[in-house]
Amino acid sequence: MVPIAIGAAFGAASTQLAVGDSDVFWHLVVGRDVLRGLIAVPDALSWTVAGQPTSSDQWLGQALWALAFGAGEWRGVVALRALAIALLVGVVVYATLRERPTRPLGAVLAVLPAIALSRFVWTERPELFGFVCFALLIVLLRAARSGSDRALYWIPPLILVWANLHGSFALGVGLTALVAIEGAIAQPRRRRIYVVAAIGSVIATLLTPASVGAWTAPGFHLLHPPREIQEWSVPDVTTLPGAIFAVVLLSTLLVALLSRARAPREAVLLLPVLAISLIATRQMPLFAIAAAPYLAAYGADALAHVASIIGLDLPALAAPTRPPGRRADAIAFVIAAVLLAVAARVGVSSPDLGGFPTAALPSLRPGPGLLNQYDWGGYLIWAAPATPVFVDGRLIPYLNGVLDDYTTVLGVHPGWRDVIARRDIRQILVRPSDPVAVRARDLGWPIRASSDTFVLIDVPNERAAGP
Amino acid sequence: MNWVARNAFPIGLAAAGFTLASGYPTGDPDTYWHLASGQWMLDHHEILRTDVFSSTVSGQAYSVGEWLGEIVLTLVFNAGSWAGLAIFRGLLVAIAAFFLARLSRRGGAPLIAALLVVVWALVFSKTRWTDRPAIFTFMLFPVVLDLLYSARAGSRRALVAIPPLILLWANLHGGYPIGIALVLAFTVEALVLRRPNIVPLVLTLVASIVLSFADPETFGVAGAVGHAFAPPRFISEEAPPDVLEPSGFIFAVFVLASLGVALFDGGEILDALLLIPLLWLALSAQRQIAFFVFAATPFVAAGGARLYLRLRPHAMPLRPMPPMAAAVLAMLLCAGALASAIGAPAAPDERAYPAGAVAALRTGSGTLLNEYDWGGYLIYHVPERKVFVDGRLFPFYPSVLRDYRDAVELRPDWKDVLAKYDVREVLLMPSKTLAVALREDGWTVRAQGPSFILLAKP
Repeated sequence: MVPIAIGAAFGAASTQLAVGDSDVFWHLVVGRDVLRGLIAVPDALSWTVAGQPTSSDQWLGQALWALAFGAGEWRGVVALRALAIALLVGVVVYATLRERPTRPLGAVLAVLPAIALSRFVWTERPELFGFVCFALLIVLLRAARSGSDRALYWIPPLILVWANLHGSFALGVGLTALVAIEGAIAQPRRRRIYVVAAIGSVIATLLTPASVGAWTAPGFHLLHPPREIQEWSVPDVTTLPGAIFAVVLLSTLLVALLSRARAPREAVLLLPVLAISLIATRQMPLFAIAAAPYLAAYGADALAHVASIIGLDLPALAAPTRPPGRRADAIAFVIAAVLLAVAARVGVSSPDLGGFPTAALPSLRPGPGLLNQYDWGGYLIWAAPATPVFVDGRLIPYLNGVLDDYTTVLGVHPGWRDVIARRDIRQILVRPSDPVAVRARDLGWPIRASSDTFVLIDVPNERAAGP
Repeated sequence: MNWVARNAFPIGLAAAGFTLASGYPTGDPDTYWHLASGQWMLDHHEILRTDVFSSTVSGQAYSVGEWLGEIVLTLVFNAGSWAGLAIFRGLLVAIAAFFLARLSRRGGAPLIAALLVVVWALVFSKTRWTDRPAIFTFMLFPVVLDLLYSARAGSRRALVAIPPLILLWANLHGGYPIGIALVLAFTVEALVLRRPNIVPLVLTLVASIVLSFADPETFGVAGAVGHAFAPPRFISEEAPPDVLEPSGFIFAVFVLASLGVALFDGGEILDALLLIPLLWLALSAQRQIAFFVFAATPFVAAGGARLYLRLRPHAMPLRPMPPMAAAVLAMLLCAGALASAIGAPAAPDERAYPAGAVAALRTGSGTLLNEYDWGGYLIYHVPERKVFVDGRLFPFYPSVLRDYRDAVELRPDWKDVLAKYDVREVLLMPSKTLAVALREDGWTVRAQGPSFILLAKP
């Protein structure tokens, strides 16, 4: 009951959050194609990599977002996001409550940092589904280690869905393999079922349109994160998400140091996830989600240990309560569903386009030739389909030189005019503070449209090559 | 000989540390302005309290809290030039390695486990082997930590040494608050566990705090704390640790190892008092990660050894080397280290600096806007030209640095900045946006090389 209630509350609250992540737009366009049966078709959204193969590693996630949009336009997207957030929060709360079923308050306290950190991935992207799958996997792996064979059987189907929803599935497979190895050693009688779960998980990842190719994107992102993109930057404790991550990490270390109960098996789950989370900002919530059940299970013991050392008498906690029955769960489920439906109905109904160059759309020239801000590529794909983009949030297609050329022009680095000439760039749509916008104004290039958010510059062909 | 035999492991590591650290040339951009500052103080017989090197904050009061460190480095340089500086660096690293090796066995780790962990810690710390006053903090941190562990084990003499060390530290480098923090951690542990040495520890803490104020040039604990909470991110060593880079990777290994050991075996109150704040500090900026790695060394070494024994309970422990053999080996390593001092580099590695622009700079005039990282080099090699910014950071923070970045990154007010300071010459990397723009605008190229370009206003 408690997970359902808390999940529904956060899901309902999320309907008031703005919609309009910079990547949602191109995911919707690709998802629309998927619903028409066009998976991994040659690129037709950009002019720099037009005709080249595209990735299908998120096809199901994109299709879900497109379905939601088709069903209720932006309200549909908000409703799906609310549902996914409710599921994510509910599963994380459930995972902690499993560790302390009779002490819900302690469990909820342990889970708060994870919920707070997950807020930074409450976006309308397939990535959100990836986090839901990860949270589910943590529940299944912990249940499996506690002796549940059924939980192990559920892992390959989960990985199958995950591999089609989002590229983060690789972490799930890796964790499953590690837990299976540890489980096979610690519980020899269950060795076969652990092996089946691990091999089944690996096979499940091949049942995607990309087959083995589905593994290329996760591997690349893990070892070559594009640091210039905010979400791939190094975790920074002087930012709010970084500070929350630090709190979780320090709390986990503190509990591990001071708890009297030893938890060596937790290392199999926590250490690999921590290693992944230390790599990039967008991966920090993973550790918070994985650590929440551990903190719930051992936090109180660590606290009691410290209290006993310093001779403090902790107030007695409330007596164990009887867990609510199935009827209470059913009632909670119905109330949660109604709550989410009502919230989606009264939630935001249109995207927040304040950060996008909406006023520039009428002045965009159709056809190739536009160099656009990276963050606006998805929006332009959605709102100006007649003007293909130079780059957008899909990132990987542009790593073969396009992103370098983009950086050269945007930052006015040596050779920027050569790139403009070589690529035949005719218009530039960037932020007014971007060096190329400043330089273009210095050079007197025609400003087709501008606002506080954007500036659209016509490139004079005869001057592009420079003095 | 007995002492040598007992300490053969730390001595051997110190010798290895000396050989490694003294074998490469200096190349840190800040070394130059530290030497220039030290020389100014020696020449004028007073502490440098106002800016004499820049055109942007000339005459303004400032402090970097490192007057004694700068003077010591300058005296060493005056006595032995660049080779002397390299040998001195080797000595300080050797002291750090000696105490780190002692620390690595504090938890009862066997030699092989301690060796593995301490080598990783030393390899990682190579990025901190710089010819700057910061190297005194690098050296004093393991010294004070080891003394505190000795005191915890019952040595009163170790505690007596700490306040004078803090006094020295406070005058050598601004990193001394971390030394006081170490004393505080041990004091709190003694208080919580009602240890018998609580009174001496409290006295040591109070004496350390009081003596830290005996510094004519400090920027204070508040300054250090402010710096830790708001590090200037555009300086690479102030960036958060990136675990995909070598030093960040080793840091991550220590974080994972610490958590792993804690999950397997737990820890003590003192481990929590040391590791938790130092881990936060390490996460805040790359330059701080050495403290966590050093403090985690005994914990990880001992925990790793216990884990190994648990996995292989019947493994035969390595037979310790006979004391005489250990002593001879240590002496041989020391002799090798001393012999390696002959090969200490006699010149700095200046390939990253605009050496080809020096002649043109000397004949130029007017305000020079220079690359941040080259400020120290210019202060030392072209003292007749005042710099725009340099690695001293604090005098320029925040307004001059903001103007500098606005200009160099071609932000909308870049022309206003050049006009405000009446910039006549610009010395930058050719890839910098401002250099590209000024070339296009017809500024004259006075000198250039693969890594620099000197432009003059027409």
